Amino acid sequence: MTEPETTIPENIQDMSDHAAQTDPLEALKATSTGVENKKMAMWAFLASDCMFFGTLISTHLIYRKIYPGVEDPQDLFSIELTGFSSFILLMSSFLMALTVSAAHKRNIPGMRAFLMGTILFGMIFLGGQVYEFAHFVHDKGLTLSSSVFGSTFYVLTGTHGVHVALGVFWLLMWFLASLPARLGDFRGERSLLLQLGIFWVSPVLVLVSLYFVKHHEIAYLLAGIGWGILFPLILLASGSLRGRYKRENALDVEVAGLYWHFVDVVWIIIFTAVYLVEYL
Amino acid sequence: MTERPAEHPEPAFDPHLKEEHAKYFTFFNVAMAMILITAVEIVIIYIPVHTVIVFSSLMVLSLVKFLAVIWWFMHLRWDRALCTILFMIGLFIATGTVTALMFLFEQDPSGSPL
Repeated sequence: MTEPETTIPENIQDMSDHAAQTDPLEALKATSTGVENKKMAMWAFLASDCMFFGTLISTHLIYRKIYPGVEDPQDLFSIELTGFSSFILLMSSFLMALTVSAAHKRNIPGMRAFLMGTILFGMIFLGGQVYEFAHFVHDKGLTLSSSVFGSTFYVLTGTHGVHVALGVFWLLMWFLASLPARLGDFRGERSLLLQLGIFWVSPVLVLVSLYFVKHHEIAYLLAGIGWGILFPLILLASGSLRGRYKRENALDVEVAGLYWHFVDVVWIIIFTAVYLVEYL
Repeated sequence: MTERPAEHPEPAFDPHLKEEHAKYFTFFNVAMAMILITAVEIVIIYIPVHTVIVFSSLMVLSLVKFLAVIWWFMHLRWDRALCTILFMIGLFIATGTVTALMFLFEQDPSGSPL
């Protein structure tokens, strides 16, 4: 038996064909819900991640309620550092919003610049978290198994940190994909060379400065040298990724942006529920 | 063959671009407001007023920041309502779970095992 032939009115067919021909990004919206499938999947994932972080946050708060006074978080926490981290993550969220806007405007150099800023700010946040954890473990003796507070605190903030690290990695993929395919083409874009220079040198400068400020802690120097060597290697090794960014990938950048904003949203809750509330 | 409408705009004259330009100022204002709120949050914990007032203020301020990010930065304001509904389902279940669990447990008089 043959299936009944569905006839699409000519004008509608023309309109959809026309949309697909003029803007591939618009063509992706042609779903039964009117929302792009990738975006829909990301929102569903974020809804599930809300529940995931909800359980981690409630675990921490419940143990703080059941066993109060086990630790003195005011003695542990540095509100200056955490406040700075919050500022950094909020700014990265702002830059991510500008990244998505530039991607929609087909402004590739602008998108790259904002994306680079977002990644740098994400890396600064991660650096702050590594510093905080190292300080807690070495100076305060708080480990994953030293107390209930340590267990719930590290699991919650560590899970968030892993989310940030994955986000940085994801955004770095799109940054590399938006670069010219051939290394020879880099010379044609002076702003790009400047961006890459900042991306390469600024973390090294910050880490080397921290080495001198923080009593010659060798970890800062090693991290600085590590980034100085790693970044050119990443650029060279990303040959198959470079130049793959197309107009329709603006949606992928937007989806990555949703994930990044969610990470920021979770930090807004953690900042209040885990850090600020302890000062009351 | 159907002819393309002549008035179809080129990307450079796309009204969509005008909307994106307007968004820039919205994003900037939201970001500045959130920095201000974060600063207020940090200051407010040192103000010697009743704990309940400070706690309530912190909850309200973090809620405002939360909503600002999802509404403007995550484009829920401009996207279809379906995205908002989908996210809110997860958010309500999570909030309900946290609230219920907080009321289920009481302080252990025997102290911490660790």
